[in-house]
Amino acid sequence: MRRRLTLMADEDLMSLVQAGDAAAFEVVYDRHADPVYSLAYRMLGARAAAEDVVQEAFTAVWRKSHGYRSTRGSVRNWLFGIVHHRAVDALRRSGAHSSRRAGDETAAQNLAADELTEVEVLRRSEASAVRGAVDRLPTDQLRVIELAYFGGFTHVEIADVLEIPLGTVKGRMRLGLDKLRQNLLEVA
Amino acid sequence: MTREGCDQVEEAAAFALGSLTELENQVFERHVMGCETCARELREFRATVEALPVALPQYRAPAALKDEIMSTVRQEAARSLAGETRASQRRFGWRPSRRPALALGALATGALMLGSYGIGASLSEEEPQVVQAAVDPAHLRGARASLARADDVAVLRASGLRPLGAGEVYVVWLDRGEGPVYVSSFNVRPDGSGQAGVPDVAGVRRIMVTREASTAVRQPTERPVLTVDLT
Repeated sequence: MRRRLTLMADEDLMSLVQAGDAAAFEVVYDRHADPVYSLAYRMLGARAAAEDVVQEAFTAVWRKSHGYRSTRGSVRNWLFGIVHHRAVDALRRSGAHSSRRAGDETAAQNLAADELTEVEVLRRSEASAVRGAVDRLPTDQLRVIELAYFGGFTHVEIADVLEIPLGTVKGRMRLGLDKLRQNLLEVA
Repeated sequence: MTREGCDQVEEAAAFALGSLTELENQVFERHVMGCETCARELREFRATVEALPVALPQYRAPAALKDEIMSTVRQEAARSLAGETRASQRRFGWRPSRRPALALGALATGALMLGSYGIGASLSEEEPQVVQAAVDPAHLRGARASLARADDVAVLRASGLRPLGAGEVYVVWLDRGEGPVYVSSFNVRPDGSGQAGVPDVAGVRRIMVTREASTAVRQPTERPVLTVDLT
């Protein structure tokens, strides 16, 4: 039965999860745990904190699976949204904001090339394309986007950190996302 | 500076990035409900922001993390199943319907198919099953239903259903000969379509869908709008 489940689309798996199917939930977890954990780890910079957030997020997905609506987007993006929100909360509660890259690289097991499944190979290809689009952003726009999205800073805090007007922060956010959208369209 | 006349549009990017405070989020969300300019900006920004995590270096989630999560999930799934099994021991019966008597004499044949699903899934190694779906004529509007089944797992898909009122849901019931058991519920999309997972159809004789005022029901309160006979 598990082989059948692994062939199912996310939306169908979520229908089963909403009906209380633990096996379907396990497939959803296996499919999305690594990218979701990677986001939490990037934001929080510590393995234990990232694990806590991911555990909270997936437990919430199980208990509140009816909150998922396919019309609002993919399961993956829904999961990213949940984890991002919880990670921002964790950062703001602890006051441990950081724009650093994930600090303790040795504490997290990076995905080595020889461990990759076919899905992961495709993800790496997609990641490379997106990274290229991000890297082509002007430095000042990329900085505010990183501080906001990965650092969990509010726009007011970003203005303080960078010592620039709040209006400038908002403008760079908007211009940066516009530019990123254009860059992504070019690589699509 | 404004774009297309709304002075709140500058907030959309910050909102999409999660960079507003909780209070600011609430204010902007209320604003977006009545402002098409900001709603459109937000949709576009959200789609862009969703790409950001994709670019990150990928790490393997610890195995122990999965063990812990799945332990909780399996315990809760088992408790939920035990609770519903006890509730299903009651004799099956209909309460008087609030709606006019429904005539199911003229059955509308729904989709006669076993749907395939998944990413390039192929069921060619199995004979496809043909399932006849009976549809309540009162809900007919080109209504169709199909049951996609693989082993003992199935997904019920329906289209052409009537929209639901506030708080209402369509509830899926399984009948193994001892009365209906609540399985899951689903809402209807604006186009009248909906779907629900059926995690265990082993031994099931009938799958029924009723329209209920809420999910807090232990037995159907109305006649089925859809019936799938698996005998």
